[in-house]
Amino acid sequence: MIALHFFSRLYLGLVYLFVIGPMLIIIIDSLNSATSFPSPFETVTLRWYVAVLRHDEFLTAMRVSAIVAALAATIATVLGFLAAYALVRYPLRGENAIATFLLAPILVPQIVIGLAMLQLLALLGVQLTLAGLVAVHTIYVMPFTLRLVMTGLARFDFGLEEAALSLGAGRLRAVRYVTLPLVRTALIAGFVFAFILSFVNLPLSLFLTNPSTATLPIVMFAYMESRIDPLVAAVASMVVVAAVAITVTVERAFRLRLLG
Amino acid sequence: MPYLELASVTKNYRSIMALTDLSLNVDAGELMCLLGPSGCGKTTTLRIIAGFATVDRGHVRLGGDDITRVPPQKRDIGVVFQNYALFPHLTVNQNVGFGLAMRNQKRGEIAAAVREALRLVRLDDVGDRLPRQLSGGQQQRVALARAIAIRPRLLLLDEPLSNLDAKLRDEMRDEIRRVQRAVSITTVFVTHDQIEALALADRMAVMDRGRVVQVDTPINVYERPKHPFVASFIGQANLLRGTVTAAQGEHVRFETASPLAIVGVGRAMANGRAVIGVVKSERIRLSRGAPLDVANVFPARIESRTYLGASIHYRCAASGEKLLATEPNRPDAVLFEPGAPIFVSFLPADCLVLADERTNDAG
Repeated sequence: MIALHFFSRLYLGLVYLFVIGPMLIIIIDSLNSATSFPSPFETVTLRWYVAVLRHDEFLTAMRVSAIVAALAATIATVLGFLAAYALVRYPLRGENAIATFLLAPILVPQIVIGLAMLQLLALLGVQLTLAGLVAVHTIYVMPFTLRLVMTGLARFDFGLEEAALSLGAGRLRAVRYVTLPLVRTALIAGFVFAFILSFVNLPLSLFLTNPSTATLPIVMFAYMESRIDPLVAAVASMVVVAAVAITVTVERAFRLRLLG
Repeated sequence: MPYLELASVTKNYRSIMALTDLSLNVDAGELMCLLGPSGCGKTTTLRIIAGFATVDRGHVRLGGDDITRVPPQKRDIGVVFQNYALFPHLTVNQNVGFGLAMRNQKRGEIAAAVREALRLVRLDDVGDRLPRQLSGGQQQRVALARAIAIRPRLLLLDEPLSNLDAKLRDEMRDEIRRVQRAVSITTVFVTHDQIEALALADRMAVMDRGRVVQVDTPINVYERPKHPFVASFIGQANLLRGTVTAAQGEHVRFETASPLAIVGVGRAMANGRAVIGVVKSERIRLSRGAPLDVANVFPARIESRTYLGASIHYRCAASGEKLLATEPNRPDAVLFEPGAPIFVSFLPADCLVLADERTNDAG
């Protein structure tokens, strides 16, 4: 028993080390006053954070990423709900094929999707705009919202919609007042995951941005190609802290369990 | 003119004929029970009345209006579902007021109507609770209050008591009857439980394989079944198959294969006709000696005895015929032992003779 106890602790420790370790290292790096990166720790400083806040390119990129992520997550949540509703509610011909097709974007390497989208936009004669970027992010994050909402709807008793109908609610109001509130957890969780996945995504955006639509990961990547200093670690730390903060805030606000 | 009318309704699910040319009339203020075994189409009938299912052929009329193609939200029909279908995210008050809110009534009017509906089902002080904080019986009352709060033109109940334990079931059965009378609302109640139907219904429709077999008062359905299916489904009846050997007036003499010569009552039938004699188990008398005053007396043997408290069930064999007899457990009741030789007897008036359609169709 003692041996088992020891090994299960060791196992747990390793899990924590590899999940949280890299993020801790980045945060420590961002507080390091040494000008090269990575380098041994000298003294604690916040100068890199101050530098980020004065760095227009990073600030613009953060705003672009936030806009793209918000739009992609919103569209993916709406479309994901509609698709999940149809798939769960009605017996459809080729139901499994449709579900697999809609989940397919996760199976294709993202850089391939990005490249393919670039070619498609070129064929259609569409400029590289924010819309193209939002479209490709939406396609990529929709499988997550779809899956989560499908799971939520699988536990939903559609008899409740019939009850609402019998009480005089039309189809739309039945969904609005009964179905949506009862799959709220799945919708919010889907939106949060979609937002974060889009916000941190690099390969999808790689071919689809121009200087005015460069997302944060693109700017970070470009920055690291030319120079290495803890500035980029500060940006990364801000993203990690923001992601955790968003998730925790949403959990608190809606009394949900998103992080298990 | 009937208040609710189903006229020649036919419904197919894929290739399965769910309802076949079903017609049913319900009068205003009446409580009609649809009774039948599972799969007989009673729930499908209810869903068609509510508008949740469409018909392939036929018409549904309510208060003179043809509502066959009217969507459920425009029918003004209150429904109590088998699992209650209370909205789990809404309080009791919000559940009961839901229908009124959908009718865009004023806040104050809704609150008053909700109070009134909850008072009617005798539920006080639970208005702010969520459904999951209520007992099964309370949830049932909320479901009933929610359905009647909209002052519906018709109330439908789909096996509303099947999720309650036996004691609560009897209590809620009487509650439903009381509320139905109090608001004098035309009601259709679906059940597979004959006791429920007998106790509640003004009239009951017995269904079998997508058809209504008999519509009548509970007493008539029980005492005077018109069809062997009704006779076998309601109560505990012995079905004795035989052929007519003589008929005089309403008395019919027939002989079973066992052979027993039995006298019963029925409409005049030709000799040689295949018939079924229906004898309810409680109308069969058991005695040690042969009673002299009745026509149908047969020597028999007790095969088994089941003690049920209020009554005692005996399985007997008379010649080759197996009979079930139910004796009330009176203080002076004699307990017969299995294996004991006895006499079974019943009055001709207690043996209803019906044409055996099955045999006649086949032959």
